[in-house]
Amino acid sequence: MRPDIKTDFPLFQAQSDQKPLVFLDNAAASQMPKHVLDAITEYYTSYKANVHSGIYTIGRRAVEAYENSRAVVARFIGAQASEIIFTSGTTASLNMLMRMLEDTVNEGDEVIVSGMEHHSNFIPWQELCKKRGARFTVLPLLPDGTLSLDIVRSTFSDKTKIIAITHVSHVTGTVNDVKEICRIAREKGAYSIIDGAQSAPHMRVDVREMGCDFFAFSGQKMLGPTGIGVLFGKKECLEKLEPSGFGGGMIRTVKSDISTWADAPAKFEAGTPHIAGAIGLAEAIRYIENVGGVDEIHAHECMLAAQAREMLGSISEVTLYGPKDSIHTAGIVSFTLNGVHPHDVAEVLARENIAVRAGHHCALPLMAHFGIPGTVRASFYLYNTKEDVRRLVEGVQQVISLFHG
Amino acid sequence: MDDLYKEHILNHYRNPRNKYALVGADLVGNETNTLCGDEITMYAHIDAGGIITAMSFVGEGCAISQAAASLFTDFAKGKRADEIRNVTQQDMEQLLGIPVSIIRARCAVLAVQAFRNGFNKNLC
Ligand SMILES: Cc1ncc(COP(=O)(O)O)c(C=O)c1O
Repeated sequence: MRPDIKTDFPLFQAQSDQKPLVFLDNAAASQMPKHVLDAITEYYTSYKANVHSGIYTIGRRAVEAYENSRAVVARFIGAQASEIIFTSGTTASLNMLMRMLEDTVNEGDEVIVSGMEHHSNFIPWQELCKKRGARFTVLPLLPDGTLSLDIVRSTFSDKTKIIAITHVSHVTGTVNDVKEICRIAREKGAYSIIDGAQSAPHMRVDVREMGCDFFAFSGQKMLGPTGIGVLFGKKECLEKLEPSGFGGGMIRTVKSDISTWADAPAKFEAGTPHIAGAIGLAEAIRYIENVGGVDEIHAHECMLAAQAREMLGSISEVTLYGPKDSIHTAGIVSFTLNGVHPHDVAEVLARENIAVRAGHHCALPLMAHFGIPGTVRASFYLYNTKEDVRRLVEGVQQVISLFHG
Repeated sequence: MDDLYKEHILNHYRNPRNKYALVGADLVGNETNTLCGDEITMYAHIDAGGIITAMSFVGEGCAISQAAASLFTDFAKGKRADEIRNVTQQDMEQLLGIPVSIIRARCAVLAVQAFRNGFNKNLC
């Protein structure tokens, strides 16, 4: 990564009397480069208009920018523009998808998830099963929190209608073999749904090569604004599924006895979308591509995470979670400190202007698997540096001397 | 180093007072911190006049919630249960000797809320 990359991000330039900010909560929300802020401001200051109305000049410009954003997102993950639905985030994408698929799950059917899912890829499917009288199966994990493909294979049955799995764990950073999981699902005639919230921002994603039916991710985790997200759906799936929301922008005809729907993706985007959000997300993708692309970002983050794992791992009070090898992990490191609650670790680090996440990370089933209430998580992105890792480790040493000293 | 982790709080965290389950308690209440999933259970003996004669707690949590629970049990002893259930965040901040941020406020009042849940369940 370019060594001065932080200068592209106004948040890191803000003057304060504190030590420079070490931002390690990128898995929750990343910072925005000025390019993204400028693109959003430009929409609001020079062509703000709805995308459903405009014959007039700025209305047309808004439609062009919005649809162009859709094309940028599509290209980024190897999809067609008509397969990209804008939502408000991964959670919204998955909940919407749950309602779209409701009729395909019947009594006695099965939906499979894994024990490492974020609650947003867990509860919707649990609720769907409850409502439809279907079986909700949670794939057990190996002791290190990884998934065994043998267990995935042997769990599938003719009753399995859906498998919903995360691409990358937001807690341990473990990378799942989603290509193989999608292949198994296809063989068994089940829908494959991949939660890409932690993969799309950080590594190459090609939905065709992966072979998934659906793929969801969020803008704020990839240098974009909050409130924008994506649901990719394979064309043939989107064509046959019913929309889950109704209103303006999604219809073909409306009569007092019956209404019909527009083609995808409009069919799934009722109401005024987050136009500025879509524009900001597309600009974030352009930025990512211009600074070297996701492969380079991935290599950079994995290097920092491996270094953090090694340095933290050599401290006797530290317990690391997740796989030992760094080949199948992304730039996320989770750990606990013997005798210190994760929130206290994060609070002491905060006083050193180091931002980490502490708690259960909306992954209580995974916490139960590890038998802990929570972890401290450091998640890296393109602008993090070796100096950030050094400050983190130094901060952890301070926590230890405060609590054990 | 900083206020939040001054010796007063760390002392109560490392050596919590009244951390056990009271046998034959008149009041048992629990509460979960939705932020972190920490759970706490409060126990109390309350006499016929509504006075708390003993209070204890069980649970794991951060330094703030554990120290707050420990301080709360000492504070409540000998006071009226219907007054203690109205202890506020400000009261807890006074006991802790520090203001708490909006994010940690739940930790500071977790024990009080658990007591209140028990009061509503057992005594109302
Ligand atoms: C793996 C994973 N899935 C889903 C989500 C939910 O994303 P959002 O809050 O943007 O809807 C997150 C965010 O933390 C995540 O890490």
